[in-house]
Amino acid sequence: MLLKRWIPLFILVFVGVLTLIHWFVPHDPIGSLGRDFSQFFDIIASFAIILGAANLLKLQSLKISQRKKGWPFNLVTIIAFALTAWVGLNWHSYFGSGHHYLAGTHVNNPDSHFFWVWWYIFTPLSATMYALLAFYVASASYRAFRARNVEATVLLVAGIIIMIGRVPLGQQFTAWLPDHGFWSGFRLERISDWIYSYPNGAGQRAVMIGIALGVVSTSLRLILGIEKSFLGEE
Amino acid sequence: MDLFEKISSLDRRWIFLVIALSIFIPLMLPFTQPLSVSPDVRAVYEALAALPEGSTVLCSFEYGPSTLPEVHPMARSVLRYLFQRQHKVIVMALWPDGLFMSRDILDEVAEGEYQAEYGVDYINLGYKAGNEVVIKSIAESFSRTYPVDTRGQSTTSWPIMHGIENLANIDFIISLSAGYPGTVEWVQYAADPYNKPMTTCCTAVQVTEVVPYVRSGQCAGILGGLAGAAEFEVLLMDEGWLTELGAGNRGMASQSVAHLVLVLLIILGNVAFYIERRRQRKF
Repeated sequence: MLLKRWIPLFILVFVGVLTLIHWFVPHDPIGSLGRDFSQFFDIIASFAIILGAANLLKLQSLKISQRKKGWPFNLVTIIAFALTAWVGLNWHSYFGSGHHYLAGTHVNNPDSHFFWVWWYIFTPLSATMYALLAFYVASASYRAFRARNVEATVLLVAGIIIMIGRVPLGQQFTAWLPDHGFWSGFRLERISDWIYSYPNGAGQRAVMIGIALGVVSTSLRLILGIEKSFLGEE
Repeated sequence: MDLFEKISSLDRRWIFLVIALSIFIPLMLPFTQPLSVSPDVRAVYEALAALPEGSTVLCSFEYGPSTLPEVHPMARSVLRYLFQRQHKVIVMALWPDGLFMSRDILDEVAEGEYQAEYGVDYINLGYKAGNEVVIKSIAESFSRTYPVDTRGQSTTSWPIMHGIENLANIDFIISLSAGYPGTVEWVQYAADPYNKPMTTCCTAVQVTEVVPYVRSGQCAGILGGLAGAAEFEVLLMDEGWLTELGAGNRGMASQSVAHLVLVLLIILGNVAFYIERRRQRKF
């Protein structure tokens, strides 16, 4: 009970309260403790990669051992992971000779194997995946963007104005309107800016305030010991 | 099956083909288009122009290969302007990919075009895990957060870092962002609490998220997506900082045509939908 409940709870309350107070009392020792806790986060975040890697390997291995559908792809994932990890962790892994082998800097050296893997394999794959989205978005927009009711029509009109108003060719449709004065407000780029600034701005602010209130209430629940799900309790 | 039914149930491969052609043809046969510079892009330029020569500017790279075509042209133009104005540039990354993006653009602009001296005119601190906590950490100390740079040398050993203790010694922040952590975190954890001027070069999809901070004055203007990059290039050329337009403008021809084609497809789909619905009501 002590190890599983009270010590983790004490650490959470102690760190949470001190980190909160250090914003209001920046003087030492509270100030330096708050700064140290920020450093602790950096260190813990770095270790999280080990957990992520272990989880990836476990899930992929499980699918291979059970010969689940598409298991060769899981095998490719593991091989790619192992190769990338090897060239990343081995700082002597270079093309050619005469390199100054310094751990860490090799990931940023164009002669290293890691850099090659990243630049010539990961980069094109990642760019290709993202580029394909354009085609799927186009197809999905064609099918789903329908003026079925008033709300959908408003969304459709706003979307079209933004799409046209953000590109020079589209802006030409209303380029005949004057640059200044009342009628200039009807130029597509101006309407597009207005949509971004006001209806979108208002919505975004509401979302941000809502999220902030949610974060505050969840943090308070954790600090006050009301929320115990992180301890595995209901 | 009549024409409208055919349009409604158009095979998606036709849409893929039309979109592919609308992107590839303007890329192969580029054409120039008159481009008006938006107030947000002008605000970015004015904020940068207001910096005295030799200011220290922090550039944070928060994007990867997937958003490279959108953010790289902005990064290129901004860095060109910073080096021409003799500013000191400190580069860091909140995304692991950002390290490679910064490396690529610094090789091209800093070393290739301006022969800027590493450690004197610019430095690359690299990537650090921790997202917004990294921003909080550099607000306290650069050397504690980044003891060594990407070359493995002590950060404090470089002349550019002399007198740069923490964020207080930075004159301006530029976030080159494609998501989380990015511009929003820079506003919340650096620009606002420490009263530091900043601006952003972000992807088009991020503009909606960042606009409230721009309107509130917490972020000086915004370069949004390829359109932002193209407008900034035009502005720099008008002001005499660029001799020719770059990748932003080259890409805009494709983006313009693709947007218009997509809008036409959506309108076509809606016309077919409307006519079909009227027919169904009749019977």
